[in-house]
Amino acid sequence: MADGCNLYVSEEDVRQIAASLDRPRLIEDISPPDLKPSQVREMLETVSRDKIVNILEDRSKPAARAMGRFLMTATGAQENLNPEDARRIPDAFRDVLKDHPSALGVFVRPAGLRGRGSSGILHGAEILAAQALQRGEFTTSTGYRLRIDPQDEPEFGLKHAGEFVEWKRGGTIETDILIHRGGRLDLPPIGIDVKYSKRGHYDVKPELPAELTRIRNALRDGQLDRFVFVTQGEFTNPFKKVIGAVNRDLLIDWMNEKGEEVEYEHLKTSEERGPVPNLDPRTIDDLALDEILALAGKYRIPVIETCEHVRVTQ
Amino acid sequence: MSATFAATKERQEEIALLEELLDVRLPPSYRRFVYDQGAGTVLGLPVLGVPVSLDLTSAWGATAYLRSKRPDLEPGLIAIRIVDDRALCLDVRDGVREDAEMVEVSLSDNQSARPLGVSFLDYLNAATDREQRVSVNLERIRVHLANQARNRKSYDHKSGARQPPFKARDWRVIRSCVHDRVVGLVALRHDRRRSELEVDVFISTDHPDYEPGHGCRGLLIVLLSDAYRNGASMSISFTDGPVEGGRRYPARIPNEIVRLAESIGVRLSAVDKGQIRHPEAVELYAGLVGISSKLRDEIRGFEDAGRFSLLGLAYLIGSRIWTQAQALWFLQNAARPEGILFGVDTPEQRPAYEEALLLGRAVLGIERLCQRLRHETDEANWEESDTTVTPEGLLWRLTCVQKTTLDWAVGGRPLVLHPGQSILVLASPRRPFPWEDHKIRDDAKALASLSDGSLQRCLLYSSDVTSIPNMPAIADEVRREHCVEMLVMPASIRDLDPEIAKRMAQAGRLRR
Repeated sequence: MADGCNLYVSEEDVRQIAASLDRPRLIEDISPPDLKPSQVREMLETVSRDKIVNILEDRSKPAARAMGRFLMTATGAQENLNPEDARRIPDAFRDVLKDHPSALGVFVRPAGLRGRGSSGILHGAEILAAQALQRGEFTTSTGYRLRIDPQDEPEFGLKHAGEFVEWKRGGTIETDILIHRGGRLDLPPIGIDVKYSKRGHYDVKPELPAELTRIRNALRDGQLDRFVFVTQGEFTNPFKKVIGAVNRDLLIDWMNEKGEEVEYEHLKTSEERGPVPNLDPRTIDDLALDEILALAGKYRIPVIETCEHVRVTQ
Repeated sequence: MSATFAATKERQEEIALLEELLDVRLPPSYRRFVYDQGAGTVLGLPVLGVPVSLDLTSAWGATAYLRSKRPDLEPGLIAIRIVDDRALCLDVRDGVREDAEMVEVSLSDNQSARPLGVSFLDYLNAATDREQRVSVNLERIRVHLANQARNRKSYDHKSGARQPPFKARDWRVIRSCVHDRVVGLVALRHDRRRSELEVDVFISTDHPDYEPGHGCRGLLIVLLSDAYRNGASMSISFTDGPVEGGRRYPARIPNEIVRLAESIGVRLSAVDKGQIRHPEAVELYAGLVGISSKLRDEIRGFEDAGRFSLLGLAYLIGSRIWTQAQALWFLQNAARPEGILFGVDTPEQRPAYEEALLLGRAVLGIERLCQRLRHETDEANWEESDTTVTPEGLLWRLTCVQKTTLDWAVGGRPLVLHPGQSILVLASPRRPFPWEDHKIRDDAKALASLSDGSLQRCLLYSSDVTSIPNMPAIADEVRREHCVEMLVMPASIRDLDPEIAKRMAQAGRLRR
């Protein structure tokens, strides 16, 4: 038994007792235990994604409206997206989960190494872009028609090594959406980084050059088949110029390392193929950015692509 | 649409979603709580609800966490609170009724859900009643303090004043604290006309680190000790009404006291009249301080002879001067136990006082040994430590709960005690002359004759014994011949005697 310390009560005691009773009665007053990433992952595994789709199926149900509010809060949509985009979040979740019920990153937290910092629930812009790519196709800057087919296997919120061998030294690339074409996990996937701007024009951010260096390494190493910056609006010219400069370097890389050995299986006829590029690296500087992108598109030279206006249009 | 209506509608939607996600129907009592409050705190602890979120601030997140941690459990448990590694849950595994029983689930092991014996609604109601009662009683205490200030009888222990200005007949408010947390408040006075203790306020709670009910227990001991100190009768009367002037009327005995009394086998006959009658209070007091039936049998003769009373001994133990085991040992082994127990013997009565010191040294030696065994220095709780102590005639039986290595053995060989192992100790701290080595052999012989040898036997001496030459050789000899281990505590009788004298002086001031 605890031995109490017994004393006569004073005014000070009563004041302290009253203060302790009157403290704000908030849930936050008792801080919940911090969850480790592995605990979050285990928690998410108990959540049935079919159930979430069922709840979201009929928006007139009370539970669907509450689920919509939860998703908008959990994805940060209310703060980070335009109101009309935020309202589309519940539908986007429903569509993505319906077509790809086992997609990693949607109510499934990726493993620590690949999804460090991931919450297991996508950011709003990413789920909207995924929904748009499921519903239609969008042409990238090289002319590639980007879409997510039902047989593809998308993964969300993953990180990709910036350099093939040395993960730590090379840093990581944000691949908000990773598309494994036809569900083939053995082939290099398409990496997508979704950029969202409330104003509709996405500009250069200080961290972009470092990220581009890592993407260039990943493309050169063959870890990624393609890498596309996607936005619901447009990229600004400075943004495109920065990308273009890196693409010029990628073209030089390609010329130096692979150019002459590549066989163009996708270009079947000599008409399709046209003259095989036989560029001197020294003359690449003379090429316009559009010309580089056209070359890359035609000969499948791995460059960083951009794709604008990726949004669901009613 | 008004804001309140919108909030209510949202709550309904959240409840529907919670049910869908958890795949259970919420019991109506919890549903009403969530509808009214969303989530809240009860007695200062959270009760989770909505809005749903995938963390530990909503019932969905908490239940998902519970299910991930305890996949072995059936899904009909709704987690409404997670604290440390325990989840407080509503149990709807047997279907939904008006109310749901509450269970506690451990998240760190696979123990089955532990029923708490209370439904959610009862829990909420009890909490509301309790909060109201605390608030009302706190207000009454404020009134008492205001009256004290008006009568110039206020007392602040921080001021360091030696004597509180209260008489027994004055209203006094006492607080009981455990580790700086207030666990009990009582306002009481002695009613001279009816010769009973009158209680105006009695509120208690528990420190989270100790066993349930200890706050009430401690406060009730305070109450009963006061009744013994100041009254001819132990009767206690719970009353309500104006603090000064005006007629006071009986108030019901607080439920926690009734429950506590039942738990120690005392049935209170006038709960609604607010009366704890004298015989009930005596039983209650003896039970609360832990006076065993064995000890009561020992006391009976002394009571009949008018030497001291059961209540006097309870008061002594309640005052934490001697423990129940120590009192029992004194009663069994002293010719005049009141001499040391109640400090009756004074230094002027030399032979009697010397005898009291002799007994006190043995008891204090065992107390020090227990402290050593539990690696702590808190003297007050030595009897309740991991080591259990039982007097067995002249000897003491000590049982360790944890493995302990005791380095008091003479000869440098440490004594290793395993969990559950008992030792029999004959404590005989003394200051021998250097040529009195035969006394140690006599002690060993006596110890061997008093026990059957199934337990490890030890002789306990004070450090004064090291004045005898060749102690390691003597220790070897008694170990070999009598299977007795010699222990020497790192304290001399010069260290023990002042402590004994202090306790005897304290006890001497108490009512017998």
